[in-house]
Amino acid sequence: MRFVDEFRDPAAARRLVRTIDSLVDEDRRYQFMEVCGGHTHTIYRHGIEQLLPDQIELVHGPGCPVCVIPMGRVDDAIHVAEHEGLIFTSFGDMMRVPGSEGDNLLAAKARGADVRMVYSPLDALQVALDEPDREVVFFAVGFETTAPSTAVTLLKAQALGVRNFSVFCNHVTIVPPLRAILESPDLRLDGFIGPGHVSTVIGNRPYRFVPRDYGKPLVTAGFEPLDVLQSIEMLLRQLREGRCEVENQYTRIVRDEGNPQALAILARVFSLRPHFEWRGMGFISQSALQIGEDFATFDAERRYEVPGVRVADPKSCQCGEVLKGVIKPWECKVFGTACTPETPIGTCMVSSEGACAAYYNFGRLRHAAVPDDVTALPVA
Amino acid sequence: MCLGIPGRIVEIVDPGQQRAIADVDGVRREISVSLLGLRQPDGSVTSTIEVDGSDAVTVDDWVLIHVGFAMSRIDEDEAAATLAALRAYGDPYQQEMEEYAADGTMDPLRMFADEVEWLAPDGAAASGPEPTMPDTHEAPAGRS
Ligand code: SF4
Repeated sequence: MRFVDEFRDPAAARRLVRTIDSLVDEDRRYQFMEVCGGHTHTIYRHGIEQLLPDQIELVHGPGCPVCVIPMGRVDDAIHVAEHEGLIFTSFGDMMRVPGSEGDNLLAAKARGADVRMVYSPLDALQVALDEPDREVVFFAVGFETTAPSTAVTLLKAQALGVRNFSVFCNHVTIVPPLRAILESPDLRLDGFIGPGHVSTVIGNRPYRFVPRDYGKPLVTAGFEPLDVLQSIEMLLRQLREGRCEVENQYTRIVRDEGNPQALAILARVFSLRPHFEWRGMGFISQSALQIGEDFATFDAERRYEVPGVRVADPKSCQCGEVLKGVIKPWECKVFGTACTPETPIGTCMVSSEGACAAYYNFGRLRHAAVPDDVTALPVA
Repeated sequence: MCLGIPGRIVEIVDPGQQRAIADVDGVRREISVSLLGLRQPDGSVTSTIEVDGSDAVTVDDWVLIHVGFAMSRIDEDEAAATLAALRAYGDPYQQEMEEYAADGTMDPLRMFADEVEWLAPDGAAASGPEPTMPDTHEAPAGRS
């Protein structure tokens, strides 16, 4: 596949790893956080941690939009979904995200709610057009990558005068949690692998505070193995040369200024929430989007009563620490035992971009050092 | 869900509605190009929202697709430049690392010990110094 296969070239990867080896200072340790869950997925799927010198540790950040949705919001979604006669549409990833007491949208469907999976918010709008006599709600999640798609869908719904469509908006923004992580005292990071697809929309400029205020380099990176390796090489080179900047490895996709049209659409449709709760990270101010006044009739939170109850994460769940990179997935006490992709306790185990699920699916056997099983590893 | 996939625009369905057909590895599906705008054969740009046209796409363009939307036009020149840079990696280091490996203090090919398919030793690597594999690992054979 073009723009994929060539960025998986093994020979180039070997050379890159050698270059990385040569840039590492034997006597120091490096902790780099990959902000985005897409990178976490690539890192585990392709065994990148095993290729790197021991001095480099990759810390998995909060950039999985499914993983950061707090339980209370899932409860609200289920509550809306169970309204009589309503059609509730959602990305597949959200179906098994646990609300309180292990409830989820799939279970709601089993109880009789009309919950449907869609690939795109436009598909959800199409359901509303096809079934004008029923109320249709779209469960919107995602960072700035996904929010413009919801915004375009709302513009279209407004233009078409659709009355039976609304959005339960859970869009979040990347900069506030990044800042929260940088403020967190128990973390010592040396640099960031910046989120590639969020940056297609917001560009590279919003990250300038990271080197300026916190003295950490950040390299916006693509999602193929060579992209990730090259971004690590760029971070090491900055450290070695005493530079501290925002750099762009993903130039084929990301422009420094982002996508001005998408930003204009976001500004037209959404406004910032004063604060939003992140799973495991608590409330972060101005970290999420809500539907703006001009589109109030499409706001499911105004159209339906939602309980809006804050639910504490289960005691056994350590997703917060995983999301902040304080512990590794396998260090959680319930990892792989009570918490598996089939029966997730925490959200990090649900999405393929969640650190726990990525590690469970791809990294587990390697870490457990079961030599006989090694060749049977699932490698895509 | 947050992953994007590269696809090529193969057909414009409805310029007014910004609908196009994209081909991803042989699979075709309708996508929206509202976030980029659509360039017509005569050079004009159509869009449902304010678009300055600099990112407008047309048939044969490669785009990154996410939840049914073209998010970004893939810049083929930049992709080629990145690949060229990736290919150039290691050249200045190659010799130094081979010498370094030869004195036996470190094996730069230890990464081959990993069973990961896409990094399986290829012909070029096999002609270098013999990689030292941990006893418990078998190098996958015959891949390149
Ligand atoms: S193993 Fe489960 S409960 Fe523990 S951190 Fe991961 S997702 Fe959360």
